[in-house]
Amino acid sequence: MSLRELKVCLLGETGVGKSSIVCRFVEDSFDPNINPTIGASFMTKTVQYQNELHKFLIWDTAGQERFRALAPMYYRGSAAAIIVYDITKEESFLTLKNWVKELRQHGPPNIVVAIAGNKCDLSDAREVLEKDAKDYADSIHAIFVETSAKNAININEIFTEISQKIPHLDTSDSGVRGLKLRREQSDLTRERTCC
Amino acid sequence: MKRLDDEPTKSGKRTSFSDNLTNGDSVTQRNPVALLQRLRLCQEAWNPGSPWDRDGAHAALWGRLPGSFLVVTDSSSQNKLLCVSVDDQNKKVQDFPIIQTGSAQRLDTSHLAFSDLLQLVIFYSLSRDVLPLCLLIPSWVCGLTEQPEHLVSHLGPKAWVCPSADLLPGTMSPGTPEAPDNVMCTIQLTADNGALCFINPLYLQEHGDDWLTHSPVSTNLINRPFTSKRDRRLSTARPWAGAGLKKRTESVEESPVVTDSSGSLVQSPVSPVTTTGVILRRASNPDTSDLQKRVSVDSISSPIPQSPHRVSWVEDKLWNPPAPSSLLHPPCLEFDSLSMSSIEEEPDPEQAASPCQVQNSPRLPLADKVKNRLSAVGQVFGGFINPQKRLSKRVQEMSERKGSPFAEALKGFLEQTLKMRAACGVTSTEILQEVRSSLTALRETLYDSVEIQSIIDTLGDVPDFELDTMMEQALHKVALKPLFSHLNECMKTARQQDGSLHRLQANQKTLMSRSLEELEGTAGAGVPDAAMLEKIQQRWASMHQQYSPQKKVEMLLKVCKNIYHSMTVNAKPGVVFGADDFLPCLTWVLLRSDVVTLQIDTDYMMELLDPSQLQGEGGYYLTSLYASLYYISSFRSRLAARQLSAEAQKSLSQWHRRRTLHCNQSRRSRNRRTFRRHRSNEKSDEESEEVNASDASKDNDQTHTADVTETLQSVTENFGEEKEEEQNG
Repeated sequence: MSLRELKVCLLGETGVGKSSIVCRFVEDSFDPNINPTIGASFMTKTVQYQNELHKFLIWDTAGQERFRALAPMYYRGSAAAIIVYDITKEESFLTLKNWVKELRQHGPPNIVVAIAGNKCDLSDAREVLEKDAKDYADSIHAIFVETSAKNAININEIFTEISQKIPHLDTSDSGVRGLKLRREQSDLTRERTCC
Repeated sequence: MKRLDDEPTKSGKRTSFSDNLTNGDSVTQRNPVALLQRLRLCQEAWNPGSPWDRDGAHAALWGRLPGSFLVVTDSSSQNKLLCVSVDDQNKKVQDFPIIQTGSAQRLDTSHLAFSDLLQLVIFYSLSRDVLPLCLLIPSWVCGLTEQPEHLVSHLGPKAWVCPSADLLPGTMSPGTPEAPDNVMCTIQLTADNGALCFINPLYLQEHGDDWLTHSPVSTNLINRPFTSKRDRRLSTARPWAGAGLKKRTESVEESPVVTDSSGSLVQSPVSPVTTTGVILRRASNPDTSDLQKRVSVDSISSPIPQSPHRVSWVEDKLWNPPAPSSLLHPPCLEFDSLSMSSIEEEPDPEQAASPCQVQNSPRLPLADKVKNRLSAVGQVFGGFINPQKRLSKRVQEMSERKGSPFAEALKGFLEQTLKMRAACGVTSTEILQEVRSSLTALRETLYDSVEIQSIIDTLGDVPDFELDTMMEQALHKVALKPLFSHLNECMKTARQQDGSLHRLQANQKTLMSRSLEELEGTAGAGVPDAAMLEKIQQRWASMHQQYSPQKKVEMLLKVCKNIYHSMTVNAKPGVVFGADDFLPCLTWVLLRSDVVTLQIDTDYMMELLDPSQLQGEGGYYLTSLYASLYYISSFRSRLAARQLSAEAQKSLSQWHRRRTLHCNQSRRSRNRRTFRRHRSNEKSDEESEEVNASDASKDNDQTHTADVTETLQSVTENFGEEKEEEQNG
């Protein structure tokens, strides 16, 4: 089984629960070898997807307006971006749309975009209709889920869907890199036979 | 967090070669990381800041249980003092000054150095070394994990030294004289000629250690085949101390093995259970080498009894009751990691993952001679199984051999770089890029040499990029170390000339007075107090002193960890601090630091670090450091803030571009054998591509990932494919 490292960038207004989502995702990890990271800004989790292991390297970004200009440094090289908004704050949904635009313009090409409407446990205070968000997501071919980091709703689902949408390596790249070989293979074989 | 995941495997192995021991499978395992963690949580209790001083500590320790201790700062000398209650009858409290040498801390009277206070304390709670008795850690510390962190932080020194007889009998008390009923360890000794052998500790109990000074080989010593040492390295949970930087390496390296061996799919790329029978090799922590050396030298030159043997490491896990104060405590398999100051004070993401952490490692009644040689451990350890060291040594030798292609190339590079002066218009980035490309070329030369190839051939299943990292490390020593201070000067001059340092400092002044909230920080997150800030400054300073970009990043991670600690100390339980909180906090810290030096160090890391390391944790926090400095230097008033200045935009685009070039370079070198020609075509394409730099860089990253993955696939699919490589290359 091969292992792929997928850099995933978290975008969204401050306070929408970006890091809570990641913490929830990483927390109920079934991987006994998962490494704790020094803080919630950067976390990793490995999950199996079909015959691949996907190791998500999750880069959180600061959502404050002032730090917005710094985001390109973070989303550069990402395989996917999760843009989070708060279903109880219409404004955070508008910010999300700006992020989508920015990613389109400056983000990596083919980046998988996932939209997460967080705090869906607070449906009484809802300001963004699920249907509106869903329609918007469909229009930009983005993954869409409403999540609740608090109640662990749909958290794993986002990442599963990202796994599904990440282009499969074998089909996306043929030839040159597929032949990439390793110098030490003979040694590896030798060692295996002796133990 | 990695724990003793590979315990079953290891135990199994151990019994196989020391079959008279029923190794400790029966013994309850506790989380070995926890003690470090717990002690860290309550550090304020045992290491109170001002106003606690020597007198206060003495007063608090007066008449407490022997071994009770506090670490305070001596108000007169400003040194740290370890105050230990040594005798509750006579109400005696003794002081042991802690000496800080560079990044190492040690007791005044001992040669064992530790990278931080926490390790030092843990060590002396397990082994008294020069102390009259082991330090006593209150048993409530064991329960700390149950409590939310914020409660812990309120526990003061009073609680710490509370005599409330709450000692867990048999675990922390230094005085329980029962014999261990279950000694499960093997001590490995190394003779001066390098031979390895094992000693059953029961033998020592039974027969003492006189034989150590007599015959070189005892009947009880078993020669250990080299392979068994490698078997031990199977430990998949074993960390490689590169912290975040190594994370990627680690999992990628291990995953193919999992599949190979079991043929079945497993969730975890590093699940140890399925790897039975496969040797996993891993470099020992390459970063300890310097300190290791220093400590080893120190210890060897110290007046310890000479004998033909040295303890090279102590293997074991379990324990029952501790023995009296003169115990050697083998904290873990990687003994070097404790005594040689390589482990993190707090369980670092990777390092703490050590399968054999300090926590409840049992205490081992060892003969004095064995104990006295503990300090030589790291040296032997490194010398034997650290491929990094072998590689570095060989590279060093090659660099000194006059006339060899490598030595000549290196000499040329060094001379050329030393001649280089920061001319007008040359940016610090350009300087470093030049160095980087020379480094890459030198690395190629090394790979092409027969000597290096032969070492590589013996290394086994090391993935290419890990090999690259090791090679880099070796190369840095001969190529960067001599240039380091010169480069620093050049970078500084260049940055002064282009005005960026001035801007940075000016904005630092403007922003300094702002509170965390004014820096967009979120409520609830704390900032470092004076003591922590001081500690962070020391770490910045030692970061600056490192010539190796990898080691710099490790230091950066320690600082970030400190910042997180300060953020969470007074936070409500359950609050999660992400980048929204961290970045303002980091900025707050930077505003109180030497931004000029930090900017130079950041450039240095950014440009010279192997690009493959930039996606992991180290890469993340390096990016954050870069971003934060960038934020400060490009700061404009709120009105103007929405629009990036043209200057800032240009700089940003340069940033993209240079990472792009690097990724490309590195990838080319990675594939040097097979696709060199193809890659160089690509390079010219990308160099012409400036406008869409970030897109190109993304491409590179994906390409890199693709390389890695495909490498792994190719391994699992067909071991015979190297033939193709020959054809292609």
